[in-house]
Amino acid sequence: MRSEPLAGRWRRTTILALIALLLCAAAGFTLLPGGMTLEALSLFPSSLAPVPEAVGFPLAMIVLIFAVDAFQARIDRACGLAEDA
Amino acid sequence: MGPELRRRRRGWAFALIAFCLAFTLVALVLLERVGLPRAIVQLAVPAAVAAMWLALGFGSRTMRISEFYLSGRRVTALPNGMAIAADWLSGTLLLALAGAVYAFGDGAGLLIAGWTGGFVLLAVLLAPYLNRSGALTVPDFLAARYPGRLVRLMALAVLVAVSLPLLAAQLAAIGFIAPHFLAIPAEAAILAALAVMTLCSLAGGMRALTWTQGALFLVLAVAFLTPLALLSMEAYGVPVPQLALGEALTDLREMLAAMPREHFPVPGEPSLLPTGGSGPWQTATALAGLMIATASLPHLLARFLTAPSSREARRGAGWGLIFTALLLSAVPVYAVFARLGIIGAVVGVDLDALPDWVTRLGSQGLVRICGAGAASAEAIRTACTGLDSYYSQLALADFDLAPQAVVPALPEISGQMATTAALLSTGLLAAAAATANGLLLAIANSLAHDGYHRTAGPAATAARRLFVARLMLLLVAAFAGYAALGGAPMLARLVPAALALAAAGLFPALVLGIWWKRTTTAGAAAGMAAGIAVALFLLAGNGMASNEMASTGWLAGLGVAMTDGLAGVATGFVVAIAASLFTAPPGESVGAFVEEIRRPGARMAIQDRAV
Repeated sequence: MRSEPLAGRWRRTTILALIALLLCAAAGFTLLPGGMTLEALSLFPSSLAPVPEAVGFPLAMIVLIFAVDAFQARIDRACGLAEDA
Repeated sequence: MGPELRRRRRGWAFALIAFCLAFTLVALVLLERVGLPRAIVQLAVPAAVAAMWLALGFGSRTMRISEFYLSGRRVTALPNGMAIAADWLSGTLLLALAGAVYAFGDGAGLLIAGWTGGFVLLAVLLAPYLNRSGALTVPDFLAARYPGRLVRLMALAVLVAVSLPLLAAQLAAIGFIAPHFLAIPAEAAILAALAVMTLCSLAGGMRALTWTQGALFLVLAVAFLTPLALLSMEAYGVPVPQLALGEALTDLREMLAAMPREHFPVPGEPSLLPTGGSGPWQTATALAGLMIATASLPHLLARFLTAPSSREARRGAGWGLIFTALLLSAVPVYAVFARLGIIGAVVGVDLDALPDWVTRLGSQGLVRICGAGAASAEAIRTACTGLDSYYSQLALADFDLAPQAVVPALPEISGQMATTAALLSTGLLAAAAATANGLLLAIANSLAHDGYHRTAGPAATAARRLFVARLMLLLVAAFAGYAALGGAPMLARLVPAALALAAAGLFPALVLGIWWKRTTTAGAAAGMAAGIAVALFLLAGNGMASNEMASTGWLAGLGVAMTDGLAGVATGFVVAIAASLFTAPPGESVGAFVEEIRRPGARMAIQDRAV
């Protein structure tokens, strides 16, 4: 189905999902012991352990922004909406 | 001129300027090796950057309103990302954040998370839709969504109240860095920076700002990362300093473990939330407040109006965050390398054999030893012999470096060349000046467009509008200079309050304006007023002004201010929704406006015939 209301619905759903993700990430950062770091999940060797503290959260946010960009562009195209020039 | 030719010419201009800068730096390094005095190096580096700035600014001169206000709406994601990073990564922030990590340790992760999370809110909730509106300023968007003058004037007042303290703080940062690390008098540095940014903005407005901010970001990135990369390469064989942080921290822990206990500094409260502690609730509210405040900054929002499409605006936020994260992730490395450098250079060293930089920074009030200013070897000896626990060699507990000096002092602490130190200090000046320029233009453009054209002079010709915009630039620059040179010292200390005010005053009206068609003008105005009132009331109760802006003090006040701002945001949402439900629904034109800004490919919702 190609329609603007459908695109609008998808956009709202995407945005709600992303805000929920952001809140979960922030809650994880706030509440998990050791913060939301890969160190806390033991995924990094100890010599690089502090790196995710400074890099992990920004990196997750960058992925989130580009993911929503790709997803929204795909939805818009699927619904027959042209990207503005 | 076609877009391809324009892009190619701009690419050549950037390449030429980068080549000239690189040539100047290489020449200075070689000349320094054969004895060029430090004083000349300290002047030559900022002079070269100022010359580049002026060349780019005047090269971007324009007499068209669309170029002056919006850079022709042609700024694609990559250059916009650089300009966004330059707008956001201010000199004040880099100095204070590194100082906070140095002084408080892990707690500063909260700030990094809060600020970067704000970019997601921007990219997802606001940026693409502001871009689609065709607005020239943030108040212009709000006035189109909430017809009438009331919301426009309220938003203009918030924009000025938020941006002026931020502008004053950047000038204060210039006044701190220039005399302490480049031997340039504070007044001269502030006036020179203001003169350069005003001249460039007068010539090219947003067009000049876009390209100068992009170039200044490149200068900042090179200046900020070079000293760390050299140290990291030398000590750990890794040219990417962020990847050396783990090993450096391990070294630091081992050094501290090998020290006698009495050599440790007295531990302070390692918290950035001085009142109310740092429990999960306080951390969560401060984090949410920081995210919302970042997403509500008018000078940052203005950058998204310059993108050619909503998708480019969204991607611009992504690129902005990539560039921002590149430098933010290096901030903890500065803190750790500074600690390592200090331990290596002064701890266990005889009082008579301390390096020169200790007394140089001590004479400027940036280093204290044994509780007294380390202005001279004699002063240090007198202070330390007065202690009961006197010993001839210095302990870590006796040494106190001002946190705001951690970044600019690192090259000197670790014995790097004067050119590297001057480059870093110039990069920090560039960061402060680029942000200040963005703020200056945001205030002046809003005063000219919302305060004059849309309110008092709707029939003004394009030439008159440009004249008023340039006049406003001069007036705002003059006021900022007056405030920075001592006329209004309190202004720079209101940064935490300004951030809280941005969140409480703008965020609910912006989000509801895009995402809830039922929001009425009365509802938005009531929400803005209630949010601002609650935030101001709480801020006044908690002490609205921070400590000295150039220190970490303002970051300590930030956590509390963000919680106050968040209360204002919540109040703003509740009041705006309630008041909207109690008033008549907005007209069909408002519904059509919201539909248009949400639909990619639609024509700009606001049509300004001069743009």
